[in-house]
Amino acid sequence: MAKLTWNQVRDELSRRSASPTPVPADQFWAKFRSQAAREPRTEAVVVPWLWFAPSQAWAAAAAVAVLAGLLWIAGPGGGASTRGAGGGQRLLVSAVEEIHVFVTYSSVLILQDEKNGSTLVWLGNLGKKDKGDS
Amino acid sequence: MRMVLAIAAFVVLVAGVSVRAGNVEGKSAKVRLLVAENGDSAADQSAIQDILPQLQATLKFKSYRLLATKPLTLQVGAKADLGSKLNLSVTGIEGESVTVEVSQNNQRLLQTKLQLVPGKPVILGGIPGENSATLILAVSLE
Repeated sequence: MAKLTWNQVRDELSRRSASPTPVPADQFWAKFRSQAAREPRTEAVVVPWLWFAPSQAWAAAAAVAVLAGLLWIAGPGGGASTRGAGGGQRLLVSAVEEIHVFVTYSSVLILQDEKNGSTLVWLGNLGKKDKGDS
Repeated sequence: MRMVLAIAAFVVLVAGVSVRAGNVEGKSAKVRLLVAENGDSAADQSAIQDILPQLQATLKFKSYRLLATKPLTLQVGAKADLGSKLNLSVTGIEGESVTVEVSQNNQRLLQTKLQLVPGKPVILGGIPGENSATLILAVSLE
């Protein structure tokens, strides 16, 4: 490979790629406008953030509220609270909140059956001689 | 769209609050009277199938026999005459709770405040009956 000087390179380049003939200005702009009209433009889209973001938030909040309402209605016990005898915990069990015994008794036993949902109250020696308080 | 969702949310929440706030007043309940026995029983026990498991698991009686079933509307003053000189009456309703009083021979035995879940009975047992029988009451919301 022959080693060229910078002057030779310059001369060779100017010889091989001659400058194109300048296009008249009216032809240039006519071609430019034609291509501009034909090809899709990728202009920046102005996103209406101030409208968009709050509307999304509203929709999300409303959807959550609808879901919460439905879950609340369909929740355990429906219209009835199902608090257990121990208080606090929500179970699908009928519960005894209070009991007052007006005659003598020896013991009161309250058993909740969470499997069957029933509650058993057993009064020992009700109305018999042993004394008891309500 | 968001307006529709907001209205739907409001309606659902209002409906939810109204359903939750509903009380048991006017609802139908059922009171059953059973006798606990130590002999074998050939009686049909289909009407007490819902409470038999707990009775059998908890108490030492050999069998349980249904003596009476009475409807009871949950409103103050409603009364169920169960036989065996036993009565159960509604003495108070407070939201989701109902207070009932059990009396025998016109003597008050006990008063209890219950929260009833439909189909889940509260069983009140140990009530003395005739001939030293042991009686059991089962109150359930229908």
